[in-house]
Amino acid sequence: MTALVLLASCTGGTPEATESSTATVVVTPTPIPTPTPSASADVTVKPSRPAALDEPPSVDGAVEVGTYFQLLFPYVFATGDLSDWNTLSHPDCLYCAGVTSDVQTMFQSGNHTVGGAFDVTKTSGGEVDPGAWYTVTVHLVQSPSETVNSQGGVVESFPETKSGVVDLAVIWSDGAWRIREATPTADAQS
Amino acid sequence: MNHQRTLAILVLAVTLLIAGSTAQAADNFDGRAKGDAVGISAFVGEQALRSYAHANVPPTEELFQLRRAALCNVTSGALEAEIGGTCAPPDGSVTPNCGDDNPVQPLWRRDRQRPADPWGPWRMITGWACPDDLLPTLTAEDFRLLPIAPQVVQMQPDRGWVLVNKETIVLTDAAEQTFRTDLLGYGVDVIATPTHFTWDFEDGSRQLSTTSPGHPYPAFDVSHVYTDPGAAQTITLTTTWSGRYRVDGDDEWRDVVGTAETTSTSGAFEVVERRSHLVARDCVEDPDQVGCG
Repeated sequence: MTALVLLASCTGGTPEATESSTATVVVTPTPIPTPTPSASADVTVKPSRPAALDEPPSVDGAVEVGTYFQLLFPYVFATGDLSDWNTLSHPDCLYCAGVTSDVQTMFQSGNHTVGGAFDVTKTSGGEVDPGAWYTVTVHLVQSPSETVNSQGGVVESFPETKSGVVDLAVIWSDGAWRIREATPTADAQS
Repeated sequence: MNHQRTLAILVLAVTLLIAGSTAQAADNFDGRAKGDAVGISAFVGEQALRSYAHANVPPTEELFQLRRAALCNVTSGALEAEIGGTCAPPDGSVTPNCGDDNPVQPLWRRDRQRPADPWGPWRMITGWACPDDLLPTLTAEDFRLLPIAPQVVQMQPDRGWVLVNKETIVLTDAAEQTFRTDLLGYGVDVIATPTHFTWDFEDGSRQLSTTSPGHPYPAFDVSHVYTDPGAAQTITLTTTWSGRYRVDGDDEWRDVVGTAETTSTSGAFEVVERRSHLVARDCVEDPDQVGCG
């Protein structure tokens, strides 16, 4: 709305402007402020693999695995490397499959994400079925990000810092951890 | 004139900007379809609670306890009587909107190494859930395991032979079939309803797919015309069944996602050709005359 008011008053003040010059003003996009990606994390670097992935199941292990899975999120969108993401995804995990599909679509069209690092602020876990089924809750803050094409041009910009919580069902099955399901919920925007 | 046009273009441009900014963000952490992690964990928790209750270990020998309780934290007000003792900090489980149903309280667990040891703190292992989350789902695989009786293929005419180039009417019974079964320890009522019928007349013609089970003459709506005579012909019916189920204690009928199939075959019949002849007298009375037999 601000853009409309400013431009309208501007053209209103120059009644002699020709149609062509007016049109030129209109189609010039307002510059979008460049988000400042979190300096704390380079999302193109794979998060370090937690020891829990190779250890017997425990609540703490489930929390480590669930947190690692979430930290892979900005990495897969930045790099397209879905190897660990897909290994950890249970075949029935809708959220996991959705991310895989979105990443594949993005990279097939030559795009990738810059920024969007996760800052994990709090985690907790519970043992629903000992040695088999764990609940994990990851509180996180997502930095602003941009979708960028192969020439480096910005396709879409997400300038907001978002915070929220991800509930995960983390299971230990046949000697390996799997993410059975994950449900992200963004905090209400203030 | 110029101004109006400029404003019109401006409004269009701003509208486009707004439309662009509301596009769903693929790389936003919450920007996609999501499964219900809390709900499926709540179901697993309920199974654990049921087997815990079923085991009925004397309290003095228990190594763990499971309880449902709304709260377990001194800062949040009155403790539930059921769940005294120390508590781990709550992790902020949100009470869901369960429509007409009342939400189910969070599930808590505490452990001890030996019966003589003091109890560890209560920990919330699953948060608030909806009653629906705790019920088992009858899958298509479960549904297909039910002994659905194949339907009977009826024909008109039904006398062991039909006429070539005349309509052969087929029909079957559209009745539902009901079952009583067990699903993860829950009693379940299931109703199977035939919804699609695929008729194979086995004469090389295309299969006929109908939503009608067929009706008898004269209001028949499923039929086939055989164009060539043949012996020992049969008709095969493949019926597609949809399912509904109701778990004991729940008053809602839920749809099975997926279908089952049964296959039935008619009795063998002959497709025959009949020619008409003018005769002088009734062929029954005088079968040897010209044109009879």
